Amino acid sequence: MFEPDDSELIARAREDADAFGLIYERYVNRIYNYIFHRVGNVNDAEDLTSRVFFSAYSHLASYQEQGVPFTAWLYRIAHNLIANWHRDHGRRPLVSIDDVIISSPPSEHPEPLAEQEDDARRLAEAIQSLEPLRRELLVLKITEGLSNAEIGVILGKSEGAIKSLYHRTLLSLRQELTKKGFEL
Amino acid sequence: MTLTAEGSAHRKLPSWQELAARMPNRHPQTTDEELDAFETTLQRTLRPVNAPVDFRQGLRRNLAVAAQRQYTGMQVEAHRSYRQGILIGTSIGLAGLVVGILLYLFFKPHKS
Repeated sequence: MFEPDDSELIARAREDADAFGLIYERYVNRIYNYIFHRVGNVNDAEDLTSRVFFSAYSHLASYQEQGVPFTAWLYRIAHNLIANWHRDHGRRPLVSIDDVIISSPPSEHPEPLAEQEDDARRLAEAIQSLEPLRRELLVLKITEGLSNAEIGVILGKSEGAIKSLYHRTLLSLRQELTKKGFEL
Repeated sequence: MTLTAEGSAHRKLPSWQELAARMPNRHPQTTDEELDAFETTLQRTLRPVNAPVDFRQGLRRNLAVAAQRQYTGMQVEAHRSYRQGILIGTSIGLAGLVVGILLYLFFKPHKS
């Protein structure tokens, strides 16, 4: 089935609410996921997701496609709202480790299963101990699958800076886990 | 004990590479393959979450309502700016008239 691209939908959405509905359906889960990993609870994630889309809709007329992909524009709105949220709440983002770690695949042997869960828990703890910018980078890169260029637009940094920061984040996180006896 | 030329050659200062090799390494050498494998582990650990279905549907309805209001608002906004133009034009016209009258009164020839 033919799916219109973002540019076409945006042009239509300026005059047709249904077109914006299609944009919304396309991105709501991604934006929600990003926000959830940054604020750590469902209520605030829902509230901020609503605000992102209302803000995007009301500023759609001012959006101009000048090398900035629409997705990056949406994430940028979310990034700013989350920054305000953290400022207002005066706390660091907290995500329940149980919400982050994967459900381990069924196993016939209880001990290996417990080990896997323990590893995942320690890994999630190490991720949460990262500084906010690095954690945000991991979320954007790993759960959202964005390119370095797109992340650069969202975080206000160059593509090269993001590439370098991501590399350093992986290295230091891996080293931290190795120190704690995590087998990688 | 005397040092021969050969002996002094053995006691030369170590090169920077040798010194660097003796320094404690902050980031032990990690190969690209190891980092790729670690990235895969992270991908399996950081689980993407979807927005709850009720929330998604509710927000879509709210956005549709807001869109209807915005279209109505845009018409009001356009009407308001049209009226604003008339008011500004009238004000400028009146101000010009007042200035004209004052200038006329100031410069009009006095009859003796």
